[in-house]
Amino acid sequence: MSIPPFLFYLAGALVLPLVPKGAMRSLFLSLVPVLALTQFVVLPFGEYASAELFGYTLILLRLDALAYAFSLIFSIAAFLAALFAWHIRDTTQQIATLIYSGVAIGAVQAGDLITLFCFWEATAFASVFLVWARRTDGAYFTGMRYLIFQMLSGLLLLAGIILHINATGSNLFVQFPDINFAAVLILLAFGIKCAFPLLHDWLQDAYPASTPTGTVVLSVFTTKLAVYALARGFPGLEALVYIGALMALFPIFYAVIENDLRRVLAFSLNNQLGFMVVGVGIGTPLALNGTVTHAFCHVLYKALLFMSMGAVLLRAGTTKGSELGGLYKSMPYTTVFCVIGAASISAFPLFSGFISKSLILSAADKQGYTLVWFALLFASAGVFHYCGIKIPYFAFFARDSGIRCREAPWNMLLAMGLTALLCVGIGVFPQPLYNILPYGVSYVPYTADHVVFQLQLLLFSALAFMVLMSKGIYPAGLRSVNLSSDIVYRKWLPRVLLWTWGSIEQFVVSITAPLRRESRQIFRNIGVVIGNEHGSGVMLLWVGVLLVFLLALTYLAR
Amino acid sequence: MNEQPRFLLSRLLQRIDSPLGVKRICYILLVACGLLVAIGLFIPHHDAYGMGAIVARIPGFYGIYGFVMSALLVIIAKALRRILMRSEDYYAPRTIDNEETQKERNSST
Repeated sequence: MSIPPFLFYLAGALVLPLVPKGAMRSLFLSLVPVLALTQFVVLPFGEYASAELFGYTLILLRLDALAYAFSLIFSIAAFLAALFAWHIRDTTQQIATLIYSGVAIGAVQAGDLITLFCFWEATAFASVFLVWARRTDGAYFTGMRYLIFQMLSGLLLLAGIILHINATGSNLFVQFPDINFAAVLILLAFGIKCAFPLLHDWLQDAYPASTPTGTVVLSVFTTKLAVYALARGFPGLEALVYIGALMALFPIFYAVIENDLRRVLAFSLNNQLGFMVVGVGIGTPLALNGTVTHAFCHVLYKALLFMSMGAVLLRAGTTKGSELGGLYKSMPYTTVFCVIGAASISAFPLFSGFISKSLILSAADKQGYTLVWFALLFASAGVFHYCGIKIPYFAFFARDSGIRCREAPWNMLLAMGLTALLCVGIGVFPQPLYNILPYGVSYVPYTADHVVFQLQLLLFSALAFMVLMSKGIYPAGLRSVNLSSDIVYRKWLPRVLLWTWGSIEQFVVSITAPLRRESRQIFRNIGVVIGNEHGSGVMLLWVGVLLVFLLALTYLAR
Repeated sequence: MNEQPRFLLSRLLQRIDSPLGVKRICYILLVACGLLVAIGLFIPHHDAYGMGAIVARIPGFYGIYGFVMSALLVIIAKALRRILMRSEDYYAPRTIDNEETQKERNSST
């Protein structure tokens, strides 16, 4: 009997408050992911830890290649995030991080839909505390908006699961055979967590609102859990190819003009999810392998980028492009780690993004999705622009902002260093990662044409950056927000609701005004009788009269 | 500014940051781009299917595509600012967007 890894995290969260704050607790926090990892890392694939509930079999630990890859990267990320947050003394964040990591791993190892739903909801509840951990009014409201979207996803999932189990009698979480109403509900639930276009605003809204360390944790789990769920439930669903292409495209325009660099990263997170969703939509072994590899590499380089910006936020006090610049003088190591993360996300040869993104691009080309292929190529050039160049350039170089701060603490540097090492390691030696992929596909990323064409794409786009920069066309960082579809529920809906409520109130007042005048007259007359103008005495009198009347009635009725 | 940064790594990075360094990077980039186009003419294309195989025959296609599309991206995005950009306190107080600016203002007064 093997213990499901999520139990380690939950037990850890229970014990945590008893561990003395400081190095002891930080050590404890980074040991939990390691302990949990040992539980499944050498376990043969299969189903373990099942339970019966109301006639349904719950499978708490199902290990197959897909679940294994996601569990592995989640565990690695949980460890790195714990190391990155070593200096944190905030118990709320520590417990939220442990539970959130644990239930996310539980969700990818869940073998049935009921268990999946429980973990799905738990990730929402645990993660919102990381947004609230900023402890400002703005973060409170942002967390609320985040929670509403996550709950909506949970409700849709629950409705879909109930309909699905009713129709098929099975609660196993496998590919949904046909796209009926239940499947559409479940797809929407996954889509919210995966930040599909128009369902995406919670991501850019909430992730930059968290703490320097909290955003790193947030960036790892929720969205990749959704990618996993899509890959499990809807591989080969063609609509996903186009949804994914759209996701890869539109956030890059926002990212170019966004000022908050952590929000720029949130936009690029959304864009990278697009690549993965395209892979799921194509659904061939090559494409699905591409999705899994890309998710794996993406977790690492995105965490690395969020870590570097977290270090900047901690030391310089802001991540606004308009306020930063010249930080390499104070934070040179962070600068180098950030550049490694940027090179990885831009898919430079020898960095991790290169060996993962090209699988999806090749698959799209092979299956004849020509337009989508062009779109992804555009998105690849774009991601280099706004993420690969813009983030390191505006934060660490550009004009000198005059900010002189300390370099990031040792634990942050160590966490960033390890993550950067993994990014480069996977980029140089991709085979170990390819070996754990769900489908046996031999893929050679390092061919002459691949390398040369990718470098052409990237260096010419760097050239474009240089030209635009020297001509002064490149948009400078400005203190601003950019409107997105969330204006519907952040401005318009409240306005419409307030207006409607106001109008209803006015209407009610206008039709009841004569009535009230009349009743006031009556009460005034009574008030004259008892010498008290419509006070509580009048009310008491009437209550008394009524009671006597009722008493008399019941007496008479006997 | 003639200050000497504390870290050795910073001093190395400072070389890139200088006007001469930037100029050098420009030249290196131009040479690299030219070389890549030239190499692209001679390498075999065995890993391309469909559209990938077609565009591989166009000399420097990936370079041109990368240059044009990323320039378009920036120009379109900049134009979008006219429609989309609002002041930092647009959603205030139910947002974190202007909290740092607000804090700064409070501490200075």
